[in-house]
Amino acid sequence: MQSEILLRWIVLVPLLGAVVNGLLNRRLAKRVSGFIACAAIGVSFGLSVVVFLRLTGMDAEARVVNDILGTWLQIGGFHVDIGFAMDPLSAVMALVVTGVGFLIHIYSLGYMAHDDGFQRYFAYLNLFVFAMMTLVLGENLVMLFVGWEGVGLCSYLLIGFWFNDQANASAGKKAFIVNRIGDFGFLIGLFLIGANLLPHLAPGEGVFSFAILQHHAHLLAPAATGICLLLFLGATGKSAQIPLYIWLPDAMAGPTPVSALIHAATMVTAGVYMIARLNFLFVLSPTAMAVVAAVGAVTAIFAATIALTQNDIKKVLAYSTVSQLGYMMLACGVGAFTVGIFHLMTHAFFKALLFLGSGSVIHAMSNEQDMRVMGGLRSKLPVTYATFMTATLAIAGVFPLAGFFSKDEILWKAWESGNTVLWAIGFLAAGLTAFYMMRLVVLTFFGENRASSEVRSHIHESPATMTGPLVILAVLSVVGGWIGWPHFMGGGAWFENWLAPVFAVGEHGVAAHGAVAHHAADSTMEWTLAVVSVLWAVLGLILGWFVYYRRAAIADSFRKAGGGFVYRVLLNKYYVDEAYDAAFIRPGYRFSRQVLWKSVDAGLIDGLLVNGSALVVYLLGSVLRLFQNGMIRFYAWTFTIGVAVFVLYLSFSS
Amino acid sequence: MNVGLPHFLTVGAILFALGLFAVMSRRNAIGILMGVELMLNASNINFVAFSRYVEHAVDGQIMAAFVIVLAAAEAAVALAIVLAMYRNFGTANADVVQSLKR
Amino acid sequence: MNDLAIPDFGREIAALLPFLIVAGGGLLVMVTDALVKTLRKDHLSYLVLLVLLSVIVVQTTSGTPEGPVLNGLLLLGNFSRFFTYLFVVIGVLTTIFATGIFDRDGNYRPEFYPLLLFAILGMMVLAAANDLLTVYLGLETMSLATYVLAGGVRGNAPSSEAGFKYLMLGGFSSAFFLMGVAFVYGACGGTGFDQIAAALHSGSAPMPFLTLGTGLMLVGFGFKVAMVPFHMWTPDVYDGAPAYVTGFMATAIKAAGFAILLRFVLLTEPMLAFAWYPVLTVLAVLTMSLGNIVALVQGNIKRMLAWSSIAHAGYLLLGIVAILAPALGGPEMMARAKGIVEEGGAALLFYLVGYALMNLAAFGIINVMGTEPGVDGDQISRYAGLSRRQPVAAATLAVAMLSLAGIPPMVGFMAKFYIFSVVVKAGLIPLAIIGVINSLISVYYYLRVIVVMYMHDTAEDSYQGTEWVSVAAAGLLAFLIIYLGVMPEAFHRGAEIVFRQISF
Repeated sequence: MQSEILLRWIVLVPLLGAVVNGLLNRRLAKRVSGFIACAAIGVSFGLSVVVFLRLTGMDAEARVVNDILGTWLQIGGFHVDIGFAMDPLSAVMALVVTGVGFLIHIYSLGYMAHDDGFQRYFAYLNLFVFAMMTLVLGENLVMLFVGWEGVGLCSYLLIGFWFNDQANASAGKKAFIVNRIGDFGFLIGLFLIGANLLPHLAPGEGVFSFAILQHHAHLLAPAATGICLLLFLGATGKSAQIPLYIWLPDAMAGPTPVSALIHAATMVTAGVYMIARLNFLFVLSPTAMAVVAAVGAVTAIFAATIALTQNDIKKVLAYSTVSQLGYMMLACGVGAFTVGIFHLMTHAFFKALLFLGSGSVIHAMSNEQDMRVMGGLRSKLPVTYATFMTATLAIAGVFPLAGFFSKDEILWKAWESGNTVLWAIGFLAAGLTAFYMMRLVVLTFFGENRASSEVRSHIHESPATMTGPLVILAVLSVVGGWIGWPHFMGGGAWFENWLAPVFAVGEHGVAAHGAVAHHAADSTMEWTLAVVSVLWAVLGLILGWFVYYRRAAIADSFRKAGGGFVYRVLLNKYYVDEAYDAAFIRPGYRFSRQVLWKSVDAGLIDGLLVNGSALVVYLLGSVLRLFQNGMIRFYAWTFTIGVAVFVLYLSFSS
Repeated sequence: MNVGLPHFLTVGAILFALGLFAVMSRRNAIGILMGVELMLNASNINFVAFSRYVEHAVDGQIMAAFVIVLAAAEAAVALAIVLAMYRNFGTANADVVQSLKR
Repeated sequence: MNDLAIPDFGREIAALLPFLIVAGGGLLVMVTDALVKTLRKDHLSYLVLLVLLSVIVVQTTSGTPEGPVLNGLLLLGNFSRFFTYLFVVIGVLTTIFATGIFDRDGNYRPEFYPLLLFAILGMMVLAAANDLLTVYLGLETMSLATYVLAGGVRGNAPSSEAGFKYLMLGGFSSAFFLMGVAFVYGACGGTGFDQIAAALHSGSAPMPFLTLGTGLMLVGFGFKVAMVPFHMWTPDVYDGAPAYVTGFMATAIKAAGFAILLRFVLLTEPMLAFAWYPVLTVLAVLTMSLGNIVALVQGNIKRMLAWSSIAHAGYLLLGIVAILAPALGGPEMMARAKGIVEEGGAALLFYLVGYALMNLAAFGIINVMGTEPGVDGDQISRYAGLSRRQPVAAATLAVAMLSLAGIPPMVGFMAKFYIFSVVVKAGLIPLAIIGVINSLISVYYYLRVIVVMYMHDTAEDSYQGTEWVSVAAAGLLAFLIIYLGVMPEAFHRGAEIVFRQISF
C-alpha cells in the first residue's frame, strides 16, 4: 500500500474554501467569493484526477493509496486513525463528487447571482464537498460516519437556506430528524462491529479500517445479519429508501443546484456507497442481501408511481431520484455491486443535468415550479431543452445513452440472480420512468405556454455559466456509459474490470452462496432482454408523448372557447381527467395518488411514524412537566418516596 | 433495663421521622428548616451511639461536632435566604412561593 | 481516621498548598472588599483570577506530594489534581462571565467572589476526600456557598425562590446523606475509606446497616448530580439562579458529584455491586429518558438546559453502570473487568470535561442575553434571528447545542461515543440502544434553538448590551469543543492515566 500525501488536500482544499468564505462572508465581493469556491473544488477535482491516474498506472491488485494523518482514537486495544485511502471504488466516487460538484458550483454562480446570501451559500457548498470527500475517502468506518453526519448537517443547512420561509426550515428539520433514525441504526451497527471484532484483533490494528475489516470479515459472520440490517437502516435514511425516503421530496425546498448536488448526485448515494464499500460484510448474510434487494426494488416502483402524479417539476425529479436509488440498492442486493456503482455514476450525470435543467426552467419562469403553468419552452430555452431531452432519453434507458448501459445491466443482473419478481418490478419501473419523464418534458417544453403574460415576457435562456455545465453534463450523459460497454455487445466492460479488485470478495461471495445460477455465456438471453428493455423504454416515451401532447391540442380548442382565468381553471381540472382517461390508468392514478401518496406517504409514514411518535413524546413531556409544580413540599414527598422505594429494594435484595 | 445500641438507634429513628414529617407537612419556611435540623440531629445521636458501642473511639463524636457546626452555619444561611424571600414575596409560606415551575 | 502519626508538617503544607491558597484567597477577597473602600469593584475579579491562576501554577510546578495527607483525611494524586484543574478552569470562566454582566449592568455582587472560591474549595475537598468526614465537609462547604450564589441576588424574586428551594431540598438531602454516613460508620467501625474498604473485604460489616447506609449516601450524591427521582430541584433552581451561577452549578457541581460518586462506587463495588447494578441501571434509564422528554416541551432555555443536564446525568450514570457490570459477570467478564473499569472511568472523566466545555459555552451566551439589567432573557423565542444580530454569539451557542446533541465532530459526540462503547463492551447492548434513542430525541430540542437563531426573523430586542469579553470566552470554548471533538485522543489517554491511579 503506497502513501499519497495528495489525498488529504483533496479533502482539505474545499474545507479551506469554506473557511475563507464563511469567515470573510460579506466582506468578499461576490465575484471573489464565487471564484474561491469554484477554484477550491476545481483543485480538488484536479488532484483527484492526478491520484486516479497514478492508480491506473499500478497493478490491478495493488491499486490502493492511503494517507494516514495520525492516530485519532486509542482506547485499550481500540485504535482508529485519521486517514484517507483511495482505491478504485473511492476513486470513482471522488471523481464523480468533485467533477459533478465542480460543474454545479459553476452553475450556481449564475443561479445564485442575485441572492443576498451568495457567500454563505458557497461556504456551505464547499463545506458539503469537504464532508462528502471525508465520507468517500475516509480510511475507516468511523471517518465515513463523520463524513456521513457532516453531509447531513450541510444538507440541513442548505435545504433551509432560504430560511425566511417557514416551510423550508421545517423541511430541513425533517431531513435532519429522519436521518437521525437512520444514523441510529448505523451507530448501533458500528458498535456491534467493534464489540464483535475487538477481542480478536492484535494491538494497534485499526478496528474499523476497511482493510482490517475485510481481512477479518469472517469473524463477523455470526452477527452479520444484524449488523448489515442496522447499517442498511442507516443507508435507507441517507439514500432515501422505504421507509425513510420521506425527507427527500420535502428537501426540494432548497436552492435547485443544491438539489442537483446533494439530493441527486452525491449525498443520497452515500448509502449505496457504504453498502458497496462493505460488500464483503453484506455477502456474509444472504438475509440482509435479500432485504436490500427487496427494499430497493419496492422503492423503485413505489416512487416511480408517485412521480407520475406530481405537478411540481422538482417533486417529479425527487421521486425519480428515490426510484433510481432503489435501482442501485436492487443491484447491490443481488450482489452486483459494480453495476450499482455504475448506475450511481451515470445517474449522477443525467440526474444532476435534469435538476440543473429544471433550475434553468424555474429561473426562466420567475421561480415557478408548477408544470401546469409551463409549456412551450422549447423555442425559448433551446439549450436547456436540448440538454434536458438528452438526459430524459438517458434516464429512460435509450441506447446508446449512459442510462441504458447501467439500467440494463441492473435488470440483467436481477434476472441472472434467478429472482424473476425482482426483475419484473425493475422492468415495470423502467417503463414508468420513461413515461413520467416524457410527461415532464411535454408539459414543460411542448405545447402552448400557459404562464401569465407577465411571467412569459421574462422568459429567457440562462447565462453561459448555467448553460455551460448543462452541455458538459449532457455530453457525459451520452458517453458516460460507454466505459461500461458490456462484453456481449463486443465492449471491454472497462468499468467492471476497474472495480473488480474491490468487489472480488463480495461478488465471488454471492456466487459461492449459490444465489447466482447462471452463466455469462448466455448472451442470447442478454441480447433479448436488452432489446426488450429498450423497446419498453421507447414505448413508455411514446405513450407519454401521446397522452400529454394530444391533450395540448384539445386544450387549444378549449382555450378559444373559454379563455383567460376560466380557461386555466378548466384546463387544470380537465388535464388530470382527460390525460389519465386516455392513458387508461385512471384507477392506477387514483391508487397512486390517494393511497400511496396521500395515505402511505403523507399519512402513514410521515404522519404516524414521524409526526405520530414525535407527538407521543411531546404529549408525554407535556404531562410529565406538570409534576414539576413548583411546590417544595411536593418535591420533598417525591424525594422521600424515592428513598423509601430505594431502601426497601435494597433491604429485600440483600 | 440495660440501655444499649438499639435504644439509641430507635430514638434516632423516631427523631428522624419527626423531622421528616415536619418537612413534609409544614408550610412555613422556618418550620421546614426546623424539620431539617431535627433530621440532622437524629444522625448525630446515631454517630455518638455508634462511637460508644461499635468503634469504642471518638471518630463519631468528632463527626457529630462537625455536624453541629455545619448545621448552625446552614441555619444562618437559611435564615438569610428566607428573609430575602420574605422581602420579595411578602410571605414565608413555602406553598405560596412557586413562581418557578413546569 | 487512622492512628495518629506524627505528621511531616513540611510535606503536609506543601501538599495542601492549593487548598490553602483557595481558602486564604477567599478570605483575602472578603477582607479586601470590606476594608479597602477605594477599590473599584471590578478589581475584586482580578484578585479572584489571580488566586485561581496561582492554584494552577502551584499545582503544575511544585510537584505536590501524592498519597494520603492529614492522617488520611484527603488522598492527593492525579485524580484530585485533575478535578482541581477542572474546577479552577470553570471558576475562571464563571468569574469572567459574572464580572462581565456586573460591569454591563452596573450592579455588583461583591459577595459573589469569595463565595465562588469557597464553593471551589469544597469541590476540591470532595474530589480529594478519603474519609466520610471530609466528604461531608466538602459537600456542605460547596453547597452552602452555592445556596447563596444562587439565591443571593438582591431584589430578584426568582433568584431568592431558587435559593430557598435549593437550600431546603439540599438540607433535606444532606440529612438523608448524613444518616447514611452514620450507618456506614456503624457498620464499618470507622469513617476512613481504607477502614471501610477493609471492613467490606473482610465481610465483617453487618449487611443491613451497610446497605441502608450506603443507599442513603447514594441518595445524597444522586441529589447533587440530579438523578431521578432526586432531580426535582434542578429545573427550578437553574431557572431562578442567574445564568452565570447556573452555568457553574451545571458543570462544577455535576463534576464534583460524579467525582465522589465514582470513588464511592469503586470503594463499595466488591460487596455491593449486586445491589447498585440493578438500581443504577433503572435510575440511569429513567434519568435520561425523563430529562430528554421534558426538555422537549420547554420554552425557556435555562429550564431546557436544566432538563438536558438531568439527561446528561443519565448518560454519565450509564458509564457507572458499565463499570459495575463486570463485577457481576462470569469469569470471562472478570478477565476483561479491569479494562472496562479503566475505560469506563476515563470515559466519565472525558465526558465531564466535554460537558463542562459545552455547557459553559452555552451559559456564557445565555448570560449576555438579558432583557434588562439583572434579568435573564431566557425565552427561546428571544433568540430569534440572533445569527444576524450577534453572529459570533449565535455561532458559539450553535456549536454548544450541536455538541450537547452529540453530533460529530463536536466533543459531545466523542464523549457519548466513549461512554456508549464502554457500555457495549460491558455487554449491555440494550442500555446502549436506549442511550442512543435518547440522544436521538434530544437532537430535536437542541436543534430548535439553532433553528430559532438562524431561521427565524429577528425578535424585538429591548435591551442591547453585548458583553464582548464573555462572548469571546465562550467563543474560545466553542473552539475547544470542536478541537477536542476532532483530536480527543491525547486528552482521553490522559484521562485514562488519571483514572488508573484510583481504580483500586
